[in-house]
This record gives sequence, structure tokens and C-alpha cells, in this order.
Amino acid sequence: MKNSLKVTRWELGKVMKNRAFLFSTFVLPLLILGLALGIPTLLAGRSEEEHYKVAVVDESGEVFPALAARLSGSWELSLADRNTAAEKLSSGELDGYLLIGPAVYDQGAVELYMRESGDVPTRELGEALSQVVIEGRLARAGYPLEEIARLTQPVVLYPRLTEEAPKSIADFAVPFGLSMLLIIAALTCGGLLMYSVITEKTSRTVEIMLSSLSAQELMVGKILSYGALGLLQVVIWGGVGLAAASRFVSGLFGAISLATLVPAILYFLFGYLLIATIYAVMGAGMKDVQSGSQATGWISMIPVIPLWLTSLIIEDSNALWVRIMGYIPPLTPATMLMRTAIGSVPAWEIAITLALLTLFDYAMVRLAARVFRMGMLMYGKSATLKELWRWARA
Amino acid sequence: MRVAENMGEKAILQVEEVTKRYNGTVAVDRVSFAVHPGEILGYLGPNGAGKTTTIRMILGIIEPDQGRILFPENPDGELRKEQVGYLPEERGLYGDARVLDLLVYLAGLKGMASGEARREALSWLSRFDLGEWAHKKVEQLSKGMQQKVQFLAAIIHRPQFLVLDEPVAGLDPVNQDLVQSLIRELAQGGTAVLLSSHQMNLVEELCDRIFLIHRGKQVLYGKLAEIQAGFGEDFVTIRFRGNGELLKKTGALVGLRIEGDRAEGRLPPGTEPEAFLRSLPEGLGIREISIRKPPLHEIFVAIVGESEQ
Repeated sequence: MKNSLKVTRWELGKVMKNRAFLFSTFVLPLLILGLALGIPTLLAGRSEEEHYKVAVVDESGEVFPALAARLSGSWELSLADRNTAAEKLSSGELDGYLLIGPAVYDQGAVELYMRESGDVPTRELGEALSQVVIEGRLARAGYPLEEIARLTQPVVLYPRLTEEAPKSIADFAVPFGLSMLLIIAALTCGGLLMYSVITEKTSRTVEIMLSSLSAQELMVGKILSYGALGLLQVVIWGGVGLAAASRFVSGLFGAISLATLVPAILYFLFGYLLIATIYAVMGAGMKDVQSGSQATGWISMIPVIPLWLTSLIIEDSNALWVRIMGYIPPLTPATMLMRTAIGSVPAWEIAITLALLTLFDYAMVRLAARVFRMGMLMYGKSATLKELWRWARA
Repeated sequence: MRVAENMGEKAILQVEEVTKRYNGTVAVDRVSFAVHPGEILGYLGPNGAGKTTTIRMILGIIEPDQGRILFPENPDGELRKEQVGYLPEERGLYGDARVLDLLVYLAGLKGMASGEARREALSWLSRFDLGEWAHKKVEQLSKGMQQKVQFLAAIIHRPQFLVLDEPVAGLDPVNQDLVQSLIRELAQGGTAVLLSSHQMNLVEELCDRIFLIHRGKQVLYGKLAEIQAGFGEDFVTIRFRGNGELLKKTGALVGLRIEGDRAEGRLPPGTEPEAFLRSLPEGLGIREISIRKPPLHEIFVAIVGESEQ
């Protein structure tokens, strides 16, 4: 194990010096986070500081004081005659002006002049005008002031739900996103591991390595290093993704519970171990990066099969065939990561699938170490499936 | 068979009746030999004779099907990875790693502390004239330089037992001499060396004893001088100016080969060198003549070639 950890440290050190890896793991997420958080803040910053300069041409002679009292803060209202207001609008001194006719209480219509649509927010202005005119009508009808306040009291609507709240987009998207991230990380790191194994073999470094440590120690060391890298990327990308998305959708962090996170991490770890051993063996059996027989290529694709069926699994994650796939160890990680993310999976199913996966992993690591050793020492041709099988039994 | 017991000291490595089969083919067939401290044993054989398989079994990379490989010094008789250094014939290092980092890493796998490994690596690199390359990437080095780095990787942890497979192949004559003198120095310091090479002159210069394997079986094993003496007739090389055909007529040499101005052959059994010299025809125009024990190259070709026919 000590030697495996030395290999892990070496491999990690090598990858950590790789500029492409550093960029994709650290710089790119930071850039994305910066963009996601920075742009809305910039946009929001302008609107908070802006004042809307609006002139009021009040031909009724009554509306302006009440309206000015109601609109404060970001509103700068001033009285003006129509010509002055029009001049100031065209010169840019005003954002807009209101034309309130003398019969506003009867007609209930006011004109708002702007250079372009959106220069003045109409909703807030409209509500305030409406309120002022309604109150004016009531006053004219002889209602006392306090009565008017009571009569114009708005109605508040309180939503009351009789059934449990359906899953929000956050409840579904976060675990599913995390699952997909874990599956992709496991597959990507498995691929990187396979590349590293082939490079070790084609560079002939493996002969020296195997005179210093066993094939199993070398394989375990490599598997650990790429697993750690996978986790690191998941944490960084997952964290950044959540932080960026939470700027737009609230309640994202709340959607991650320990109950979804723990099985997800376990499926990732054991799933990665399985994928990594398969890929390590395939890598050891390949002549070079370009080669690899069709058969070995297909074997490497087995853990990916559930991903091809994603849309069907999302449709009914508790369908019998989906549940059966969850019990087939090479398909367990991707299937179960999706199932646990989409719907509620009984704890016993999680326990059994994890137990099966662990047992399968144990057997695979033992077999893989033998095949790995023989494959690593074979140069000049790719191993056939028959050869891999013979080595596994040797 | 029993290994040669002619060395005084206890063997570092003892290979006893070792056999390895692949898919029913016998790659190594009941091979036995020993390597002693301070000794350089030449492990020879044609391509595909079973040398690499033997070496891999010795290093514990693959298991023998039969027989034992013992390191008598260790109580359990098992090889400790830190006791052995290995320079494989298949050369290769991580191209994207820096030379010093790589040496420290490989020494670390042999149990050396990183500080000590760094000091040793720097000292060896400067001795090999590679000091200024310590922080460069391996892929920036020439092939010869990479080979020297790989040689350093095999010896940096001061192994008791060193396996060298074609240690000077690809090196220029200056570096060949450097590596050769280093191998000698290590052996003088007590390191047991198993040297596999097709360069017979290297084996003749360095090895005390040789083991010749052919088709998985032992064909020769013993002291080089004794093997040469036992191989029989003295070996003659003549360079001439005149008519080489005259040599054929005299029948003074067995297995005569004439190529251009050079003739090679063996003295007939019982012929004294003086008598041979007297029998040389006039008109041959001798420029150079040597009579010596049969070179290893000839022995190798004779044995392997004979069995191929």
C-alpha cells in the first residue's frame, strides 16, 4: 500500500502540473462563476442607483401632489407645462412625462410619453396613478379620508396547499446534475487512467516499475490517483455550478440532502473503482493509444449503457427493467445514480445494489491485477479477449 | 543440476531448476545458476532463448512454473525489491517528467528517503555529465542521455544485485567506457551483476563467468577462460596483402573463412602455433596475424549456429 500511495502522489503531481488540467479544473470554473455572478450584479447595480426623471403635466390640477407623495425613492417627479416637458424629454433631461387631462377622474386615462419603451417602468407608475385617481374619485363622492383608506385597502392572496408540494426544479435538477457529474467524472477519470496505463506501457517504463513494486500496487496507485482527481473535479465543478445557478434559482443548496449525497458518493466511488479496473485492464491489453480491438472497446462501453437510456430512465425510473439494470454491477453506478436522483429509491435497494457492486469490485480488482501484469508485459500487439480471459484464470 | 560451487562466498542469487511455460511452449527449461557478491555473470543467448523470461522470474515480475529462485541472504529466501536494480532492454522513462524528480521517485519506490535520493541523484548526474539537465524534462534529452539516466535509476539506491540488459547499446564509445568502468566499480564494491548482452566483446571484458542459454536450456556455464580453453583450438586471424587462396591450399586452418584481405580459422587439433606459422605459404604477404583463445563471439556462433542446423 505504501508503494501504491507513492505512485498516487507521483501521478497526482504529474497531472497537477498539466496546464490543461489546471485550466479546466480551477481557472475555467472560476471564470464561469465570475461571469454568472458578475454580470447580473453589474446589471442590478445600475438599476438600483438610477432615478427616473418624470415631469407631470397635470391639467386636472389635483393629481400631482398625491402622486409625488406616493412615488418617492427612485422617482424624481416635477410639474411642468406640456411644451417644456416635451423639450426636456427630447433633450434627454427627462426620461418621460405624464399627460394628465382635466377629466382624468371620469376618463380614467393618462398618457405617458417616453423616447423608447422601457425608459420608465410603467407598472409601478400605473399602480400609483390608479390608486391616486381612485382615492380622488372617492373623495369627490364625499367619503372621509379614513374611510377612503379602508375602502381602497388591497386584497392579499395567501396560497394554501392541500397536498405535499411537488418536487421543484431544484429538488430534481440538483441531485440529477450531481449524478450526471459523478458519472461523467468516473468515466472521464477512467479514460484518463486507461491513457496513463497505455502510456506507461508504450514508453516501456513499466519494466522498471515492476522491478520496484507489484503490478497490483501499481494498478491500485494509479486507480487511487485518478479517483482523487475525479472527486476534486466533482467538488469544484459541482460547487461552482451550484453557486452560479443559485444566483438565478433559489433553494438549490437546500435540495442537497445527506440522504441523496451519501448514496451518490458511494455509487461514485465503487462505480469509479469498477470502471477504473475495467479500463486499466483494457489499457494494459492495448498495444498503443490508437489500437484496442473492437471487442475490448465494447467492454469499455458497458458502464456507459445507462447513459444512452437516460430519457427512458427519467420517464419511469422505477420501471422493472430499470430496477433490474441497477442490480447488474457494471450498470449499477450510472443506473442507480440516476434513479436516486429522479425518484425515491427504497433504502434496501440501495443497500443491496451497493453490496453487490462492492463484491463485484473486489473480484474485479483481484482478476484485474493478474491480467494487468500480463498485459503490461506484452508488447507489439493488442490482447484478444481470449488472452485476457486466459490471464485472468492463470 | 547443481550450480557451480567454485565461488568462495555465499551466492546472492541462486536459480534452481527453474522452468517456465507459455501456452504449452517451454520458454525456460530447468535452468540453474548462481550469482555471487562482486561477480559479473554474463547471461547470454540468441533472441528468444529465454533470457528476458529468466530475468523477469528473478525479479518476481512473473512466477516460475517449477524450480526455485532464492536470495539466500534473506531469511525467507525472497527477493526484496530494494535489493535489486534493473536496467531492462526495453528502454523507457516518463518523457514529461523532470530528470531529477523522476530519479527521486524511482529511488523512493526502492525505499530511499527523498532527501538522500535527491543528493545521490545530483551527485550521479554530475558524474555522468548531466548535472545541468537535472531540471529538464526527460523528453528534452538525447537518446544517449536518457539511457544514462535510466542506468542511474537502476543503481541510485546502491543495490546488492544488479540486472543489466544490454547496458551499453546505443551509447557512444566514450559513454560505453564510462558505463563499463562503472559496472566494474560496482562489482568491485561487492555488487553482484547479471549482465545480459549480445555484445560479446563487452562480456569478454567484464564477465568472470558466463551462462549461455539456448531454446530455454543451459548450453554453457562456467568461467570464461575455462570455457574458452575447453572450446579447443586456438583462433587465428590473418590480414594479408597477397593471394589468400594460397591459405586454402595449405589446409593449415580449420573452418577457414576469407573475406577481402582477412582470413579467419582455427588451428587443427594438436597443432602448435610455431608449427602453424612455419606452414604459412610464401606470397601471402602477411600484414598482421593473431593467434588467441577462441573469442566468445565464435563460441556463441558455433554453438548456436550448430544447433540451428
